[in-house]
Amino acid sequence: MTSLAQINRIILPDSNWQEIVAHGKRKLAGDYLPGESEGKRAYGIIAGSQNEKLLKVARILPGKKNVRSEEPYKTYMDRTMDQHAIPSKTPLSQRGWVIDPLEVKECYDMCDRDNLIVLGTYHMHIVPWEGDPIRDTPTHLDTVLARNSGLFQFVISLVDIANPIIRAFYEGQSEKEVPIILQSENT
Amino acid sequence: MDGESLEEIMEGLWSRHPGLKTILDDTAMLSIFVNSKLVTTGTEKWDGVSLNKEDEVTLIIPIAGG
Repeated sequence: MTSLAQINRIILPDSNWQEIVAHGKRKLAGDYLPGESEGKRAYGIIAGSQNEKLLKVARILPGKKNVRSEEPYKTYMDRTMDQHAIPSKTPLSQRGWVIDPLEVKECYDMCDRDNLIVLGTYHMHIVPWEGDPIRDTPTHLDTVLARNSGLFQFVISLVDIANPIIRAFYEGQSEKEVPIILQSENT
Repeated sequence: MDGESLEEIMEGLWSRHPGLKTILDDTAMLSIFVNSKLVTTGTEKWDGVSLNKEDEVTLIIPIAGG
């Protein structure tokens, strides 16, 4: 199978896109599910299928529990934040998401069952930065965290909540963007 | 895998799939599931894990983002 690094198009069905947007808006509104990590952060896994150099999104798996503040992840994330994060409104100790390994296992089990593969992860940016008002590209920290993952990083800009944007970058590298084609359900 | 320790299994895994090591900044964050149950996270704790021949072992590399 062709490596995800060779992908040149990503098909995103509109229903899946709406799921991502709804996840982000729900977290921003403070409407949490039982047992869900609180905070204005939406992080999840995107699964789908691959046909040569084309990916098609098929499943959105919103991250429920963030284990970023639990060891052994906390030590790694704190160190990475100290070294690479640009200070923002959100304190470093509250930034970053590590998906509970139980959720990751469930995701891969689902993919095996349904003949899908993990395409990447998504997370949202909500705070405009000076010189980067839209925030629809990976930060340096995003790139560091996605390094050598072999996955796409989907960046969701909800800075303007009425006009959400999604872009995809292989391993969170700005120069490795792949176009996303939104597909309506009738197409 | 009967009779093999996890360390031996992992040595075999690294030798067969050397690329795996490049995606692991920190093996302390590697989780091991045995028969779909999370046993432990962190390779330094693997000495205490015993396995039987029919056990299904899954290794989960952490997924993290900003």
